[in-house]
Amino acid sequence: MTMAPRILVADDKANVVDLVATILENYDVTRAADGAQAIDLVSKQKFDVVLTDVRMPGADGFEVLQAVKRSTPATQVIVMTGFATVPDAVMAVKQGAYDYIEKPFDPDDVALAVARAVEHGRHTVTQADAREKPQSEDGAPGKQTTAMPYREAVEAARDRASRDYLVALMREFGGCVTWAAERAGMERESLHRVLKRYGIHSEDFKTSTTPDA
Amino acid sequence: MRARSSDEGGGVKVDHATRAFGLRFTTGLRLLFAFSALVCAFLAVLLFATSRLRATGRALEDLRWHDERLRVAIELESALRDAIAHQAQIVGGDRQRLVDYRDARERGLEFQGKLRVHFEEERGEAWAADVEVFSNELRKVLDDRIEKALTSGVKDVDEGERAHTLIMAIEDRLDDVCAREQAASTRHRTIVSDLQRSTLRWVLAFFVGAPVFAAAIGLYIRRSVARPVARLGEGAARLARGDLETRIEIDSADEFGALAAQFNAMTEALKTHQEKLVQSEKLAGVGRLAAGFAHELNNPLSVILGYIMIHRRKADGRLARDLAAVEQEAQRCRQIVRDLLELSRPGRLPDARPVDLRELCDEVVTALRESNQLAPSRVVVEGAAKGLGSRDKLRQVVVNLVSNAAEAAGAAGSIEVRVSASARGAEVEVSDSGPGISLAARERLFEPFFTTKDTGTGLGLAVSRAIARAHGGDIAIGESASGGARFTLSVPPAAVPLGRLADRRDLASAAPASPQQAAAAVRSA
Repeated sequence: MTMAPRILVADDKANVVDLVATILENYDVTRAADGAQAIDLVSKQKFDVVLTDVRMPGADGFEVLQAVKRSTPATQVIVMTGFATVPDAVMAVKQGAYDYIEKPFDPDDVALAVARAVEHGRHTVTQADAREKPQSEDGAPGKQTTAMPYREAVEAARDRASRDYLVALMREFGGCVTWAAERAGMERESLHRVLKRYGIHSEDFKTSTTPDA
Repeated sequence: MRARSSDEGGGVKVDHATRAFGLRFTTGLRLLFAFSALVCAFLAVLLFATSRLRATGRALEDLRWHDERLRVAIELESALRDAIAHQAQIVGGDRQRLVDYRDARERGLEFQGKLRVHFEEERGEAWAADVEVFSNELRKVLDDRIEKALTSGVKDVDEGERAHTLIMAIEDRLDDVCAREQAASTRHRTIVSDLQRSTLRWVLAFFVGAPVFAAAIGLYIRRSVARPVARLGEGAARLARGDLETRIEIDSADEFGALAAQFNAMTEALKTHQEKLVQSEKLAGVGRLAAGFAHELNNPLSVILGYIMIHRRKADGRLARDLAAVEQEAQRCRQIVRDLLELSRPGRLPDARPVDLRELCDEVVTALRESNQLAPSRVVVEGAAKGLGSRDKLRQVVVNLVSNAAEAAGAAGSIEVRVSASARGAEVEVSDSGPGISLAARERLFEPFFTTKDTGTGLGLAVSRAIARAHGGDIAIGESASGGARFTLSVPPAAVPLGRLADRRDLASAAPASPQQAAAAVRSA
């Protein structure tokens, strides 16, 4: 087993940071109390995923995003936002953030988004010189703003990405939720709920070699 | 409220009258008529007075004429009498009298000539003929016999007698004429005095009547001009004092009626505008408050909900039940915050695109049924139309309308969702078999925080209408065939230009790009 992925959570509300840390208890979580501290940490250490609030004193989520893109491009950024600032978060995705999470959030969604981001980051690292570029540069939503609202496009893409990710995860572990959950850094129950939500049945992926979950 | 509606009715009536008659009996026309009547009255009086004067003149002329005739007749009579007297004396032997007699006779002839002239038109009458005959006879008698007799000194008593008889006969006739002329003269005198008296009466009546008539015309002008102007002025002053309920009650079909109707329409518009302004101020206030509220509540709510979700899923029994209740309420708070934010952003719509409303309604009904939120036994979706808008937002509206209908209809009721297209746009009509909505509730139904339900927040319909209006559409309340409520959502029609259709194809092919990446990421891991 490799080391747990490193996650940086930046929010000026300590309780929110604590909550996210609780959700992500399987990961190595570092906390930042504001934007400036987050930027400082990002420049000194390497994280797999950075979760940052949009509005923070010191430096906002956009500045954190830019700092991450500059220092460690492989690090995936997930923006946390209130309902009122969703357009800002969508803008952040346009500028290269991996995804956004709307507050108040379902813990399962946070876990799933982070798991996907970790996988995406691993992929980017293993194919460091691959032609594939960050989502924002050739990603789906970039060009369709005139036809489909960018936000809807982002959400549709997120849905499909989550489904594809879960299917791939199930296929890899032959329908064993326990192993898949361990890999995804999620609680087993949480993964169950997410699979159910996407209508994916783990039994469909079971092979003779799969241990009973 | 009642008074106002009756006013409006009055205004409408005037409008109808104006349109029906085409030509308005305008104030200008009325004034023209009034002045014309005044002038005509004066002209009539003038004509009457002139004709009276002329009649009086004519009567005086007649009177003079008869007087003249009378005078001539009397003169003639007296001349004849003189002649007889002189003749008698002559016959008596006084020859000195011959000259006087001749004078008298000449005078008699002279007046007889005059008489002939004066009574020319009556020549055919018996008396005139008699006088004529007797006069000629008399002249002959006088000239031929008496003169001769006198010159010869022989008395001719017989001839004298005869002359006397003739004179007496003429006198008889002339007496008749005199009497007649006297009567005619008296008659004409009466006519003249009657005329004068009646003319005087009329003139007096005119002197009294003219000011009265002029005053009446003045009053009429005052009534049709000054009073409406005063009322309009009064209304304008009331309006200036800020009384937006001001209505001017002039329902005549003239300019003032039209002006009053315009004024009333203006105040009505002003009132509506002000109400709208107040409403939008209120909404803007709610919006500002909500934005701050939502921002501040989001983080606490995140933490509360997050921990509840984590712990509820790990908890059992009583604790799980209690946490579920807490979560439900926290979710409700979250929904209120979202609704408030939606309300606070009126008129902002993400890029609109064609939405298949039938498909949307089917999807909503299916989703609600699956989540056990559709109690009614019968739900019918029919029709088809495409509207222009945001699919997510429109779904939110349809969900709201259908779940409201489900609550109203109850377990045994039915819901009808009819999708239709018209020239104005696309419509979704949601009717239920519930008890319907009272008129009083209808007026306030779209106000934020107004609710008729025990569990509602009172924001659903307000948000729905805000969304519909942001689309350029609206939501209207009506009554369903079964007496329940009917809500009609209208949105602009989806008139899709070709360019946009192309965009949609791009989108369809481009959307999976990100999931492919995700799948690739999983595979490589």
